[in-house]
Amino acid sequence: MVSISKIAEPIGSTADEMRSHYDSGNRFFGLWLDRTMSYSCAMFRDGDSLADAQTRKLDYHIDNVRLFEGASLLDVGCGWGGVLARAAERYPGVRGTGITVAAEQVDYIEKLKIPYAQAFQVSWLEFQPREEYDAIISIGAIEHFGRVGVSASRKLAGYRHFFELCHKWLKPGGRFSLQTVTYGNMQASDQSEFLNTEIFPRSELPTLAELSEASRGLFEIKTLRNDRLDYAETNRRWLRGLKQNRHEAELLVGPKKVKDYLDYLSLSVIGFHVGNSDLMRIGFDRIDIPRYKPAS
Amino acid sequence: VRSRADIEHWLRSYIAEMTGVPPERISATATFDRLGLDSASAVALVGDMEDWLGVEIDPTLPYEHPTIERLSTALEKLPA
Repeated sequence: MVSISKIAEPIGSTADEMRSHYDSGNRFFGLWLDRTMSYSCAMFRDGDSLADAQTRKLDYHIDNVRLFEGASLLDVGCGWGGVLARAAERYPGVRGTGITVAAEQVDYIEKLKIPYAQAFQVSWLEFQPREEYDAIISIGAIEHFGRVGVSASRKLAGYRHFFELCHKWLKPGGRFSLQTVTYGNMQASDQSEFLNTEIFPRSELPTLAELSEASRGLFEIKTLRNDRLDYAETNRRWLRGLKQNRHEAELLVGPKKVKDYLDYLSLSVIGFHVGNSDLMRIGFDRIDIPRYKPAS
Repeated sequence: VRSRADIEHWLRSYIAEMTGVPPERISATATFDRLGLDSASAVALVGDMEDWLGVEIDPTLPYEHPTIERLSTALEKLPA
């Protein structure tokens, strides 16, 4: 029997392809991200700074999984450790585990010295947890699990595999909060070649229908929000920050890369503003006795 | 400070160059979509417009004001 991971392996962007994006340098991202280094959609209320809105977003997910003191938490695609740090701050004794494919992010998190937290450089496909978790949070990772040019059925199988693993990694009664960009009012073929090659090599977004089908019988959807306008605003703030630090950014990564990022952030503002792309925040409860099996 | 007419002229020339259509045949009331602009050309336009006017322009402005006439009016009102 072929193991599931062997089937799923070629579906998403490879770890090398994702590293090329996220290893661009902590200092470069530090020029335009907020101090929590959150590189995903924030959650805005009137008067929020970017950092306020990013913390609100972290709290939303932490509340979504109803974290508690001493809980075990897994963050899939942990970035620069924003979730782990905030969880430890709000609930002392939380044992946080973060996984990311970017070595620079692991180094960064180690320097944060978050109590009881650890980060590993490993793909979700290869991850071998040492314990079962009370909660999983995954922000902005699953949008890289699909790969341009893969058939619809294989793409869905890849997402299903992810939800199966999350189900396995969680304790009975465990909770899962997911945030991802999804295709909105557009065809996959409308996605710009520029974004697919220069910014996020060969990544393919999910649709809401795929997430719903892939999680069916494993997780119950408890909450669902489409906050695409929050992502338009987040990208707008990043764009402003990068423009303000353009000279320094060019010294770090060169003018071509800075121009690419300015274009990418501008395109993202437009994409979320007009609804080509959506931003889903989904709260799931683990279904402890699954009765639904997808037709294979 | 640029007048509305300056801005309209700039936009017409810019879109003419981008699309290869003579400026006099570009309607100021046709939507950018109909004139053949996509999101990548909107981003390029906004970037070049920022350099020319010396102000920051939101990338969504051509979507909120989707004709030469309406965008010129909106840009004229931007604080320098």
